[in-house]
Formats: sequence, C-alpha cells, structure tokens
Amino acid sequence: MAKLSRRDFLKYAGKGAIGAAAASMLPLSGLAEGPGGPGGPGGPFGGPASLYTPGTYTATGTGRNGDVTVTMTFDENNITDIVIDISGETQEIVGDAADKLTKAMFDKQSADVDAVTGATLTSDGVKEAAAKCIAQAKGVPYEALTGNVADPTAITNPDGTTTYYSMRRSWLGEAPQIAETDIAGEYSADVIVIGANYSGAPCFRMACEKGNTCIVIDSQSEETFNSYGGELGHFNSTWQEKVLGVPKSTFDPTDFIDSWQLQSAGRAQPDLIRKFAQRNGEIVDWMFEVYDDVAQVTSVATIDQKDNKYNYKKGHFWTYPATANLGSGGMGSSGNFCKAQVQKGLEASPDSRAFYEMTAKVLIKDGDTVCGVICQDEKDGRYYRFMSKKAVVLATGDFSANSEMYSALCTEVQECNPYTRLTGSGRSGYGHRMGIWAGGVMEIGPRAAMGGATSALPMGFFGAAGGLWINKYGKRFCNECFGVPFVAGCQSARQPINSSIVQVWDNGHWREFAQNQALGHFNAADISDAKMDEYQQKLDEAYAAGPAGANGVFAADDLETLASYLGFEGKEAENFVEAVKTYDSYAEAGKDPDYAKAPDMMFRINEGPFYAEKITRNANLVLVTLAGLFVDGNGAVLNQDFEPIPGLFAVGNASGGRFPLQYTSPMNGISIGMATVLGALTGEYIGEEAPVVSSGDSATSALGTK
Amino acid sequence: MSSLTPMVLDLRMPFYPIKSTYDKRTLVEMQDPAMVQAYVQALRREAEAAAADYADCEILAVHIGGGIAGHADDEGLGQLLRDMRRGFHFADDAQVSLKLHPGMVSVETLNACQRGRVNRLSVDYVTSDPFESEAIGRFLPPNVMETTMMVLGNSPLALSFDLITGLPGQSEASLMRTLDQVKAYGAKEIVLHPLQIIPETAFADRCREYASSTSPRRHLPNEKESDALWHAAQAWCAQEGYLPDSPGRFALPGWESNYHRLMAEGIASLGFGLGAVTRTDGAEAVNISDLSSYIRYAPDPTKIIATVRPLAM
Repeated sequence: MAKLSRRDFLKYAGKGAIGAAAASMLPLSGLAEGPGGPGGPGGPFGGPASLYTPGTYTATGTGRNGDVTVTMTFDENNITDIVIDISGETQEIVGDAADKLTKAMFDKQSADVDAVTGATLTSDGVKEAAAKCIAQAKGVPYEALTGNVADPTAITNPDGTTTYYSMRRSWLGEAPQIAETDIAGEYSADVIVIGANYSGAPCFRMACEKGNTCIVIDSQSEETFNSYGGELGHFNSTWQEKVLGVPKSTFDPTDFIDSWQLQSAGRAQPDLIRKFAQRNGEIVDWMFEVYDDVAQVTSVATIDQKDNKYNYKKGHFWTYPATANLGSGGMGSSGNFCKAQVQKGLEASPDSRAFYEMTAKVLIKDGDTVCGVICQDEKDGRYYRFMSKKAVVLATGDFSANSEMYSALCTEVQECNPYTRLTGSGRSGYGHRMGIWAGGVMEIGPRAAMGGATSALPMGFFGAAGGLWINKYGKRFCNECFGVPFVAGCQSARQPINSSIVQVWDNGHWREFAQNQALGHFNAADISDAKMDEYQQKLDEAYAAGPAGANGVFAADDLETLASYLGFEGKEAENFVEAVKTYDSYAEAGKDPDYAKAPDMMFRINEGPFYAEKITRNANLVLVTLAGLFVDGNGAVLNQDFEPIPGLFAVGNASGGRFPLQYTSPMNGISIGMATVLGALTGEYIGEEAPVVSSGDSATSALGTK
Repeated sequence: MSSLTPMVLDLRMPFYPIKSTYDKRTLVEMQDPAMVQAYVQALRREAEAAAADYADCEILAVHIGGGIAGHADDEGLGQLLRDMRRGFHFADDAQVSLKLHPGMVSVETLNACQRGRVNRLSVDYVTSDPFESEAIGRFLPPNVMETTMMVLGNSPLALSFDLITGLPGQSEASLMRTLDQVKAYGAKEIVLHPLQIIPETAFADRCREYASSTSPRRHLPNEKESDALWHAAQAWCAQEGYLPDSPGRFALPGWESNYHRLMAEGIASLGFGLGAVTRTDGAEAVNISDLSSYIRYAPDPTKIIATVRPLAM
C-alpha cells in the first residue's frame, strides 16, 4: 500500500472513507528517519529533535534487600528493550514481578507504572532505576525529571576530597561538547567581553581605551538591541551638579560605604564597594561623554532643591537623588546608550570588533586558565571560537528567568514563598553556568533578587514607602524603615503567607509622609507638589467609593470604619485601631520604643479621613536576580578554593559581591549604576594591570571541544 | 499574486504557571521544566514532519497560545520559531503573535521573540483592579504589568490585551479604569470576553460563596449588569478609536489581528500541539490531549490526531 503523508492522511480520513482509528493502521511517509528527520541533519529544522538519545542505559534503585538494576535500550523516541535484575531480592516474595514490571513499563513506555502487589518495595526500586535510565536517555538530571531533589549534595573530587553543597545543583547541567569539526572560524583579541549591555559595554570601551584589542559579543541583533530599566543611580557626577543642582562635593563616599555595609551585614565585597563609592561620579562623567549635552539627560527623581532643604539621610541610612534616565538626552533608548559605549570603544581601538547575534556557549580553558569562548551565530547556527590573551569577561546578566536556578540559589526568596514557582524578568543564568563549568563558584549566600517577597512590597500607592504597616492580626510588626525599601520589607515577607500587609496614613500628614521617603528604588520618584495633587484626586475617589474603595485604597472618617472596610473584625479590628493610635503617639513623641524606627521617618496619623491600602506579597515581581559568581575586588572569578581563575572575570549581574543579602538600593538605579561603573573599572583593571595569560591561539586541550 | 495557498499556523503552548481557576481548556500546569522542554521539542518534531507537505502554502499569520507561551521554555520556543521560518514559507509581513501573562515576560522571552520574528504580544491581562483579579483567582496581581512594561521598554512589539467583563465586584467605574490603563500601556487591540463561569472549576466554587457575600467586592454581576458592562466597554472602545474587527475584538485601524480575521474568513489553518486544530483540504483534525502520548508520537499524525471530520463545503 502506498504511504500517506500527513496531508494525505487528513484528506483520506476527512472524506470519511475510514475512521481515524482505521486510518492509523496505514503506514506513513514523511516521518522522522534518522536524527535529522525528513530534512536530515542539514535540514531546515536544524538537527536532532528526538525524545531520547539512542543507546543502552543502566541504573540502580533501592529494593527490599538492596540494589536492583534496570537496563533500558532506547531509539530516538521509544524504549525498545528492558532488562530487570532483581536477583538480590527474596524470590519467594517478588515472584514474577520482574516480568510484570517489564511488560508494564514497555507497554506504557514509562517508569510510572503500578507496583506489583506484594512486592511494593522491589517495584519501587525498579521504578526508580527505570526512571534514572529514562533521565539518562533524555539527557536531563534524574532530580529534574522526577522532582526528587537531593539536598544536600556532596561531590567527590578527582583528588579524593569531597565538596559539600548546601543548595541543589541540578540546574547546572553539563557544559556542551562542541566538535572541532563544527568550528567554522576563529578570532583572537586581548579581551573578550560576553554581553554588550550595561556592564559589558563600558567594560569593553574602557579596555579598548586602555590600549587593548577587544571583542564584545552579544546575542541580540544590533538593529533591535534593547536594554531594560534604563535608570542609572550614582552620586557626585557633573550631571548631578548640572541637572539636579546638587554639588559634587555633597556626598562623602565613606558614608556610602558605611551605609552599604551596614545593610549588607558586612557581606558585600569591600573593594568593589570602595571602588564604586570613590569613583562612580568620575566614571559616570566618562560614560556620559556619549551625550551631546549632559544637561539634556533627564532625572528620574524630582526633588525640590530650593534652599537645599531635602535631607538625604533617612533614618540611619544615606539615600541619593542622582538617577539619570539613560534613554533621554537625545539617546532614544538605554540600548542606544550601551551601543554608544561600544562605538566609543571601537573608535579608540580600530582593531577591536563587536559581534551581534552571537551567543556564547562554553568557555575554553587551557589547564586552569580561561583563554576563550565558543559562540554560535544566531543567523546560521555555525560555531566560532574567540580566543583571549588576557581575559574573558562574563557580562551575561542574571538568572531570574531560570526558575530552577532562581529557586535553588535565592533561598530566602523561595522560602518566603513556599507555594510560588519563582520567575523573573531577566536572563537565564547561562553565563553563571559557563563560569561554574570553568571552575568558578557562586558567591556565598544568602543571595539576593531585586524585589520579590523579601520585601512583600510591590509598588503600593506611594511606591515602596515605609509608613505604618499592619498585619492580618491588626498589629504592627516591625521597623518599616530599617534601611532602604527592599531591606526594610524583609519582615513583611515573614508575615502569614495568605495575607496582605495594610499600610495606613491620614489626610493631615500624607503629603509630608510621601515627600520624605528614602530615595530608594521603587519609592515614588516624582514627589513634586503636582504629583501630590494627582494623589489627592485618587484619594478623593477612594473616599467617595466608601466600602468598595478605589485605586486599591480605602478611606473612612474614623479608624473603626476603616477597619471594617479592610475586613478586620472583632479583636483584629480592635488591634488595628490600637496599633494606629499607638504608632501616632510614638510619632508625636519622636521615639519608637517597640521597633526603633528613626523619628524622622515617622509621621503622625491622627487627622481624618484615614486611608489604607492592602499590599500583597509578590515574589514574581522580580526584575532580576542580583547574585553572581564569587569574585574578588578586581572582578576576577574565584574557584572553590576562593582563588582567582586566571583569565576569567565577571561584571554586572553575573558578578557577586554587590548585593549579598537583599537589594540594597539607596537610590533608584543603583543596580545599573554598579553594573556600569564596576564594568568600566573592571575593564580598566584588565586593560592596565591584568597580565597576559594565554597566547590567544587555539588551545590543544580545551573545555567544551572534542 | 502569489501562487501559494494562504494559511495560518496555530502553535499550542498549553502551559499555565499554576492550574487556572476559571479555564478548563487543555492546560498543563508548568511544574516540570524538563517536561515543558520535551513538549517544545515534540512541537518541533510535529512541525518538522509536516513542513514538506505544505511547501505549496504561504503562512500569513501565526498564533502561539492555547495557554501562556511566554516564559514556558523561552530558549526552546525561540529555536522552534526560527526553525519554522526555515521549514515553512512565511509571507514577508506575516503577523506572529505570542500569548503571555503579565509578570511572566523575561529578557529571554524577548530574545525568543526576536529569533522568531514575533511582532505581536497578546497579553492575558483580565483587569487592572486588584480586587477583581483576586476574586477570579489570578495568581499574580495586575500591577506586575508594570514590570512587564519595563521589560518591554522600547520593544516594537504590538500589544493586544485580553480583558474580562462581568467580573465579581466589577463596576462601570472600575472597568473604565481598566480600559484607561491598557490604553496607557499602548494597546493596539483590546479583546473583550464576557465572564463565563465554567462548571467544575475552582472559580465556579468561589462564585457559590460569593452569592452569599454582602461585600460589594464580591458581588457577581447579574445578566443585566453584565450586559451593561459589556456595552459600556464597547462604547469606550468606539469613543477611543478601537474599531470592531471580529466578535469581541477591537483594534486601532491597521492593528487588527490578522490571524483571527483570517480564521473567521475560513482560511486553511495548520495546528501543532496538544489539542490543536487543523483545517485543510476539506478536513478538520483535532490533536490528542494526552501530553505523554503527544510527546512520544509527535511526528506521527496517525497517533496524535484524535478526530478527523470532513468540513462542510
């Protein structure tokens, strides 16, 4: 009988000549034959897309008396043979369990079959072993396939020592093996920067300007190159003087270092913080050379500078006003800002190059030294080798889009959200994995994400303001302004999972409250009087809406009524009223004996109408994770012995050492501020001080090639 | 005029981050990344096996949905879309639309869109009101759209917003705020869905509780009230320049969904994935709904097509 294509099958069956079930008896053409399918390896669909890697795999499981062994053979899409060895089990008990399990797994093409009655333990061991075989054939970790995650993990090293890990590592996977015959070409430079965004672009430019030949690589297309965020936080730049009218001498770097380390409990990399504090203004001036007129670059925050009345120290911590919109000033977009940095570098170093639509796949090592990277061209799928003489810099972004990695590494965020599959808006963490495959390690935990439930404060009515916070029991529970917003919010994340945090303010003092918050990330950037008038309109709508509320806000003339609108009843309602009145008394007295909130961050709540909003925790508001590879003060990636790996550096969100506990954010845009400034300073170090560690030619023995 | 037969593609990504409270379509909870990756690879195999059969067709539009496509397996999806452009003949101006959920868009999602030349995003927004969102059981509050907008930045992707009218606690005022909000986000198209309470869903159970609640935030609009909300939304669309292009869909001129318009006109369509529907050559075929079987047998239409019936001429 002639073979039918899919299209012919539809025509034949659709005419009703036969039912679909009978039609399924007909042999078909056009099915995948060989690893490449109808098009073969060179076909349009680009290679193997089978379910299994064909072969025979063996694994063990724990039976009743000890190990049981299963050996399975696979073709591309099926299990073709199963051999079960349960010879160590008690034969009088297991009987013909092996035969039954073999048939069941073969018929179902799965390890997920019913246990044999009377031989449950043996069956479970066989199923476990079979599942491991399937995992091997699929090329995924057994833990990822079954959800059975091993914790903790101890790995025996080649030298016989053991490394103990406190976190899951199933997200790591294995470095890809790229055949030498697949390498279509090779390039060489002093410095290879992987990633042309906020940290990579200034790194590249600086290294170029220091006299190095450099290559920058990015997976995006140059034409549609995009960055997100676009707010650069810093202090003491020329821009700060010209646009904000705040003199360069206003902020002492020592205060920044002190505030930062206090909020980091001493865990930030001291030299990275020192370098940022001491040189960020100078580096921002350098980066802003790409603007025709710095004065045209707009500010994120609008602070009334008249008479210099704004107090930048909030509570015990310093906050800063200088956050520039990188996409303004004629630049068009923050992506263009990054491209402009790259262009400056190319102008300074004509032999340097930028490669777009090129994705890094695996680092190349010569012994312990990282000497290059293999990349894949997004346009044609071919691989290219980029060899470095001094450094490969990972400027590859974060890992928030990789849920498994995010969950394993950012333990505080996951533990604050036990029912939430963590997801973020950033990158996949592939750069981190490349660094670890090359011998690097993650920075020591806990590891931060930008926002998430460690703050439990997505943008409320006034942003991440620290007013009076009340929990589901009607009680105040913490110092709402300990540190900048995301640090202060940690206690909110420790409140009952299925509850909201209520923030309360009054009509008499809300303007003062809103206009005197810390200038931290996610606080209201616009605190002008005009903006306050907009808020007033929304508050009026809430008042008019009565018990229904509006814009997420409830309003009432008295606290008892407000409590009822919020859903507080009985004892909780009484607690709510008492909490507000107690807080008000503390604000009036200028002292918080309960939680030591700084007096200048407490505002009275005694003049109605009274307003309140319910704020729910939201782990998945995270923009990016902020945890990176363990680095030293020069940005060099450290190995398991905490020693620098020759030739490997990390910057931006691929780098650790900046936000060790939480998103310390004394101004909007500090993440981009650190990424750009430290990226540039790492480029400066590499350009001026880092030694040549490789010849720049292909290594004879290299990680990731065969 | 092209000699190729015009066609649209429907790629089913049936994943949802958590089990939906109000939707009973073929949806899979997105718990196991390996399973999601295996599914996307299965989609590739199904498409790869079919591509040669339809070499005489020109793809005018692609719809990637049936669940939340964004963030499921961004890398795999990007590869699939890029490969599909190589395997099928795409019109130069083919409209490629991806369904996503607010807060579930990452830079990797955008990279996947870039690889596949996705030019349109369909946002499962529902409402801007946090109370309404909670009442229907959405797992993320509406303000996560702010994060998504930040990620999208200057992206040229056109945005279409799916909204629901008649939600518990919804008033005309709150509905207008939702509409104003999506307009502020730059909506090119607004899709209005009247609330449907599907039996045996978690939301149906909630509605039974709401029926006895006195809170205005839990009031379920009756038929007359729902109708009024629907018409109010339509009137708003008309006033703001969003013109009706197919039932429930309102778009700024030039921004209509080509996929839905062409489907309404009866164009041939090729569906890949779980529960996907194919209409070509006088027949309508529906794929199976069993995930494991689909992954195993994806290239074999005799095993993954559950039903075939002739289309009325």
